[in-house]
Amino acid sequence: MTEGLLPPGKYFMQGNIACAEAALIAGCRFFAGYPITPSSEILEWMSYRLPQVGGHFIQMEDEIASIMAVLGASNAGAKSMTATSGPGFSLMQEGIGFGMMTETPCVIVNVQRGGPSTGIPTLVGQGDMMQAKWGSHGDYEAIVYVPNSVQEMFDLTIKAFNTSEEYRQPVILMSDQVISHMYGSLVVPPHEEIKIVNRKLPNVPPSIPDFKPFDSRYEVPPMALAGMGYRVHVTGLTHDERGYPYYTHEVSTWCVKHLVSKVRNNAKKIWEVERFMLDDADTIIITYGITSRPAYQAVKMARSEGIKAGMLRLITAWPFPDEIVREVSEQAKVIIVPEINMGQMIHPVKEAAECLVVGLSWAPGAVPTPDVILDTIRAVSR
Amino acid sequence: MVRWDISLFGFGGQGIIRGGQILGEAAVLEGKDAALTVAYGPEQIGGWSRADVVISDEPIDFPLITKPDVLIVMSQEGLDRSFNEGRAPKKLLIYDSGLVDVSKVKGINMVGLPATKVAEQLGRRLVANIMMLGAFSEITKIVKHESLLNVIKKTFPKAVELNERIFMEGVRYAKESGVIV
Repeated sequence: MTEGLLPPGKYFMQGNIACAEAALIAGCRFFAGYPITPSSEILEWMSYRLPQVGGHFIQMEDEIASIMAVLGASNAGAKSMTATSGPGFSLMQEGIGFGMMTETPCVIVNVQRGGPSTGIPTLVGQGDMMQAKWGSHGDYEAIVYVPNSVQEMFDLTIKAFNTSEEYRQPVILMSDQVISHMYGSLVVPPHEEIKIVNRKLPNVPPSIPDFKPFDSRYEVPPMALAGMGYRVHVTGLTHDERGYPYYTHEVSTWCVKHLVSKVRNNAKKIWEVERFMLDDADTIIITYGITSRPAYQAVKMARSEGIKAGMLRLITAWPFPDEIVREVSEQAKVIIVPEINMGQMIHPVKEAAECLVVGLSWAPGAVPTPDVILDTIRAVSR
Repeated sequence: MVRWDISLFGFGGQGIIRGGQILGEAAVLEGKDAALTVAYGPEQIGGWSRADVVISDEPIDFPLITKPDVLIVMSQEGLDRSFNEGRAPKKLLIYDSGLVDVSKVKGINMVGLPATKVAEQLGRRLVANIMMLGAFSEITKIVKHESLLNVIKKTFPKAVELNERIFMEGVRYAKESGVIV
């Protein structure tokens, strides 16, 4: 099973390559994509590696086709993935919604660059955080992880596949240009120690009458794959548990509530955060991804000046860990939210926090230095 | 915590980024933490190219470099850009003496070595970057010669002898310079 996969050991590797290798270890055997800076290395590496492990790679004509190919392959049983950046992520939104509605597991990597529009292709941004949550129309609950190191590009890619298989829906990995292009240390554990989750398949024979592919007795229904012999209708239309389009408010209520509650009911299991020097902190930074890297240093510098600084790092951006933020805010005088955008994740923080919340909005194209964050800590803690 | 910020600067085709990869990997295999970020102009060959390597005994917080401790420079543009952008090295400048004029640089420890010329004499201009790494390793002792040579051997299995030879040339030049940091 582990033949052809990246062997356990210590590496100095690029973030995007670590992501691609992790996908293979997670069981990904299909990749469809369209190259776009700064995500292209994932696509390039998958085109080289997938055939070596018996998988399939296809470069599609655009990102719309890419996400649809990924959803198709997943419905045929392959763990599937695509990778893109801002403009491509915009194009994929309708397909992501289709994946949510049809409960199709897959992983989408968005390596954020400067925006809006084509923006700054080669430089960093964090301006797609709200799009990751609200990008497609209608009600669904996005699951979004944000890596801040090469190691997490590896670990969270595997986690994204596992979560996607467990909850039967697309999961998004929100990297950024610096984390993806950076080379850093990576430890690959023995493969047998890596947890791999596979989707549940129906435990009844295809021949049973009234088989329900979206059986409401399950929080996450087992997935009948194309070719297994089950009668399955996969549609983006509001459907009942048989998968048939059905336009009553009753069915709509069941369908939409089912989609959001499988995530909401398990949010606490999905939430992941890092608590850094938080114990006695009253000036608390809440941030994520590359912006957490200068923030570690800023917190330490502030501590050396006698300011009780700390950081809560969001590893799961969505579903938003509101209870954790509320709990942390109870000890805080002030929360600072540095991010490389004009103020996005500050909004759910404000909604959850019971203290003053201040933004540090940094335009795309560069990472704020530790000094920039320290200046804000000094200013607000006075 | 001992943290070193090292910037390699030259032009596309000199193996600047490859040099950064080798340096970072050698550090990681020694049990240190390392981070490499790269920047380059739009041209693949001949445009400016920079590799920033952070090496630390402890996990690295901020992986980017604002002002390097060591600048390894293999083009005039690399030197000029570094100094004009406030990225003059704090501790040491290592330069290719056949390609870079340092007559205007003052008050910094400097070591010049004719890396490209020596590489050409050995028959392969491409290995000049390895000579720079040899000198860097000898002066700073941040990573061991052995670690770098192991990574170099793994990276270029078809040119082991040539690379080892020019690496040791770099070591020799560094020793003769008498510079210590």
